[in-house]
Amino acid sequence: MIAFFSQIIFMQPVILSALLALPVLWYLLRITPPAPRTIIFPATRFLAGIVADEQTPSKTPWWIFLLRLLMVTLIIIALARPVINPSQSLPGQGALRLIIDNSWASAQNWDVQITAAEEAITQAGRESREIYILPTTINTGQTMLEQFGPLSSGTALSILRGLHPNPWPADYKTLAQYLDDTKERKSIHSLWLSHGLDEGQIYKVISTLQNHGGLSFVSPAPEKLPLLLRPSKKLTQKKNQEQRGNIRINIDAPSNIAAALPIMVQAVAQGENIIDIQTTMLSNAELPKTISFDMPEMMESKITKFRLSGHKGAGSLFLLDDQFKKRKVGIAAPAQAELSAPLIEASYFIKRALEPYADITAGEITTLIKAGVSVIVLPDIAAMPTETLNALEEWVSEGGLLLRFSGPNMAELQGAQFLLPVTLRAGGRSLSGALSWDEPQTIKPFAESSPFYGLEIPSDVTIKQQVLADPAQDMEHKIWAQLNDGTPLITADTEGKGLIVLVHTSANTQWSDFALSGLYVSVLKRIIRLSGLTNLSVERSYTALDPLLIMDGFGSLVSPSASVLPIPVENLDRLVPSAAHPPGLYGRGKTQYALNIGTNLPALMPVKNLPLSVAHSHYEKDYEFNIMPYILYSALVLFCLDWLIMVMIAGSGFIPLRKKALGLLILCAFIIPLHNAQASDAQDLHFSKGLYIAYIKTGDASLDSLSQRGLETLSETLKRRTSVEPVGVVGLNPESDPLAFFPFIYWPISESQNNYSSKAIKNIQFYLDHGGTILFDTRDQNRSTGGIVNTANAQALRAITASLNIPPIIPIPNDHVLGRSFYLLKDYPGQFTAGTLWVEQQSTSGRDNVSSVLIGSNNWISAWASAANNQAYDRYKNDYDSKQQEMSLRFGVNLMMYVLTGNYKADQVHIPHILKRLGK
Amino acid sequence: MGRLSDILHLRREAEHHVSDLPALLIKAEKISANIMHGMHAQRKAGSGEKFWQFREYQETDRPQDIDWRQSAKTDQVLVKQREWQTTQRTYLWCASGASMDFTSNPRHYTKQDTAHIIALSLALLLRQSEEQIGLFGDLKTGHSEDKIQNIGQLLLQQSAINAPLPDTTHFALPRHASFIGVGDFLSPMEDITRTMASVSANAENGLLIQILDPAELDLSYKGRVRFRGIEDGELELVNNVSSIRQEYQQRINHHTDQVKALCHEQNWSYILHNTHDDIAYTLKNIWQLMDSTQVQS
Repeated sequence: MIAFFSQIIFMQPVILSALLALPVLWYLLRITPPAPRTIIFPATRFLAGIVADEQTPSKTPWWIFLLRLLMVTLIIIALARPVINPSQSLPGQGALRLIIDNSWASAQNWDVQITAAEEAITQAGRESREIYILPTTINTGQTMLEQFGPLSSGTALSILRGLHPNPWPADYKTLAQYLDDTKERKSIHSLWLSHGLDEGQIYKVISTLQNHGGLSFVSPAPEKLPLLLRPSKKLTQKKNQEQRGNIRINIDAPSNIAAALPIMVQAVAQGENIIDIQTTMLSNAELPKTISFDMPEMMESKITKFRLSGHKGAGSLFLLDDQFKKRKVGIAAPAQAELSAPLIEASYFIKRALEPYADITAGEITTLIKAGVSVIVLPDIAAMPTETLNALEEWVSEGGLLLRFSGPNMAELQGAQFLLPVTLRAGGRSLSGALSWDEPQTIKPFAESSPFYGLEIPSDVTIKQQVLADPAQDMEHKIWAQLNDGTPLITADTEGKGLIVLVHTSANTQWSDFALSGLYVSVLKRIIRLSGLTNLSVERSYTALDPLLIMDGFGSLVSPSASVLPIPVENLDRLVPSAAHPPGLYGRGKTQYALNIGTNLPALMPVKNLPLSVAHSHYEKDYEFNIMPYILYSALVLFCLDWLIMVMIAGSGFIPLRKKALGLLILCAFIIPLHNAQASDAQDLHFSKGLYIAYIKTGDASLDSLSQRGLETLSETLKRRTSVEPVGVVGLNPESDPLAFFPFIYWPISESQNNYSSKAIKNIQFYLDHGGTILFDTRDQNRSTGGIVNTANAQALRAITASLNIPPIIPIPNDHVLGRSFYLLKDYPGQFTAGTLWVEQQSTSGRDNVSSVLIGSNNWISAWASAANNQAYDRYKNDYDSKQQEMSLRFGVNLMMYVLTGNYKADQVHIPHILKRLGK
Repeated sequence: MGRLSDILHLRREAEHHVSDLPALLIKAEKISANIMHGMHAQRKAGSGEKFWQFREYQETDRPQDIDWRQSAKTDQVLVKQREWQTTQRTYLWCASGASMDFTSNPRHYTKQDTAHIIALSLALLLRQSEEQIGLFGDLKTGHSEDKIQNIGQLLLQQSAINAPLPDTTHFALPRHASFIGVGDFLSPMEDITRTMASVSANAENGLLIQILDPAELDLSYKGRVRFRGIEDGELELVNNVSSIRQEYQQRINHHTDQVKALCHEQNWSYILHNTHDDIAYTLKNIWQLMDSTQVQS
């Protein structure tokens, strides 16, 4: 328990001084317990000298008081931001040796590592202890580990600042050796600021250090352990997986990493453009974790590196070279299902060898060319139709790589030879068999000029049969691989921009067991890696790759320094980065090779089972555990408890009942859901789903049904003649109905219209102000003498509009868009024609020049309604009624068009001018 | 309940309470009819309106009082004496000051407001019976509307003055007048006794209406309370009010009993009014009391 409390430190210790105020609180709560109400009381005189018998209920019970005090204390403590932290007092006495891991794995926690080192150095300086600093990696240009010391704290700090992580592994072996050599310095306590990985023989180092005078080991917290990106080595891919664009990367971590860690891997293209991000949970149960990026091949080929987002260091960066990119390889063979013996066919061997590294398709040559493969493999095909041959020749000279395997067919080749690097002798050469006395031949080590240089040749690979090349003068440089007797095994030659490679033995086990060896895979891999390179050359003129871009310790790519050496080609596949060969991009000419720390690094070993005598802790800043929320929670619980007690005591008069009721009320306010307004919501939803034409119900039943019929006719007409398809006609009461869902409202005025409430007026005004259009129809043109005069309906209209804020209106101008929004109309006829239609003088902005009100007296609704009785074709009759009905409907159509499309048709005003200009 | 700060409000309240008592009003008129309120013939010469006697002029008489017509008939210079008429004059007194300005429940009137309402209601009632009404401290009496208004106004004006008891040093009650005192009478008993003695010396009869808040009567507080007195600012910290309630009630009852006893000693009437009680009810009681005393007189 004490140990637990000693691990708590406060981030804001100043706030703790508020605890000094607790006695004041004590005074407030205790000395003047619930502050006495002062009551002005005229009869106080009569109280003088009366001694109260008992005092208990007037005081806060001590336990409630304690509860509150505890509550305040907790809040103060919480505000001081306590964190649980292992104490970091400096161990031991005498000189202090700081062992600082600065390998690739340190980059991730470098800051905390350095902070810890700084603290240790400062503390050591305070205690006047000598300091030794021992980094665990060999620096660039060095061959031995450096040790600094004995140092003063000032010098130590400046040396510390000079340290930085190196992008290669630590050398614990040398460290152990070095420590053995310095046995004379006993009683130096060591503080190992580790990155949390065992980079080989760590236990030996630890025991040595313990013998030297004790060791404290500091490592990152489980969730901060270093991660490492590794190439995905799974050879077989899931069958059901789409072959297209499946690029994988592995994430590795020591097995003692935290149980679940969210990580993000970025696929980065040139210029730091992030193409894709995959997020996953890294679990210590499943290591390494494979992450697949599913993306089109186009994008895939653009990826230049993978990066662990939010992590630093060489381990979290994985560079890609050409090798990583998958080629499309086509095998000129029937699809596997059609083969008679699928498992011993040449194409099967090729497919299995190349599958992890290439996208393999099998089929006709012409199909393959069309599919755009970069490599075509011809397993023992000696003849083909002329057209196919021509196509293939063209494809090769355009830059394709043709890989041919020999076999019985090739050996029997008669007549014209095509697409071969060398001229073949007719008939194969059998090296073993009943009629042969030759031993099967083994493969000669690859020459330096060969692309296979560096590949190890298994001793058990023998070639039983081969096709032989006619010796020629220039043949020497065409040979990439030879048998031990000097006969070529693999030859190659350029053809146009392309390359032809011939393997002089069969692709399956018929002629050799080459196809069964790992060498087969490596050789094929190297061959197909050559594809896509412009300027293919048969000869390799280099033996080592120069550094192009080098990672620094934090995973940034920098130009290589002079101390970085070229990588010899033979080491390429097994090379672990080191001071001489830091990870990065190496290459020469067009060839690039990415050296990644994760490629050949042995499994990441956690530092586990440290001897008990080693004080093991985590980095302070790493492992701080903020307990503030928990303390605040417990304070809250106490508060609720206090409240509950108060409520219970209230019965005996602590809290007035009213307050309890208020609390309940507040609670209810949160609980009781809103029930209202749901029904109207449904209706609103209904109206918002389609176009409804609306009219105002006047209360006069015959007029309302007239409006209904009239508008129904109009909407029928609209449906028939235009693309406007009204769903229905709705009668509205402005007092209660929302108007917002209707773009257009027809308002027949009648005398019976009673006065509208201010709520209705507000409703209408809101509608007009927010884009709605109302057509007021006084329907009394016959009774008026030109214009709108004082007819009864006009009076009613005035009464309605008196309280509405309507912009100035004018008689409709001749060129108004209403006259041509669908039909070309001279006037706007309803039942009557002569009435003037009034529109807004200047439409408010944002309304697309649509007038918010239209006022007229032509009784359109009657005309529309009467048209309903007439058959559609009747209206084309020439009698007056039909004509009038037709014209009024045309006006209706124009009106709806105008309301719905605004000034769209107004543009036509300029058409003659535009046409004129175009004509010129 | 808002404070009674303007005369209109006070008048309205008083009228309201009085109008609740139609029976009372009828009774008031009856009383006036029976006992001829206002005219109390003394059967001796005085400043009444009715002729009493002629007598010979003396040097001390005012020349204006000489009845020249009668003097001309005789040799003597005669002075016309009128009967000494005394009217029943009632002086109201209302306690005022911070002590009165108290209510334990803001929904009820303060003692001050209650006292004002009762005083004015009594004034109204007395006017009905044609009594001459005046305020203690001001000799003038009357029963005009003006007077009532004046009384109301003065009551309100005086409420700022701290006067727990009638100020007998500056004003002596005229002889044969009635005295109605309204107040809480929480002063020490000696003060009350002394003051009342000097008031009652001249008063024909008297009535004390002691107005107390229920809290003052039964100390209806709980818990820990610091009581602050008003007159002397005395402080009493009581840790548990409920525990002393009983003793307090004894004390206050003793005090009211003493006041009551004092009244009875002087043949005065006494009424205790609780501010949470109905004023009209108290008024009715008061009127009954006055009735009986007046009938007695």
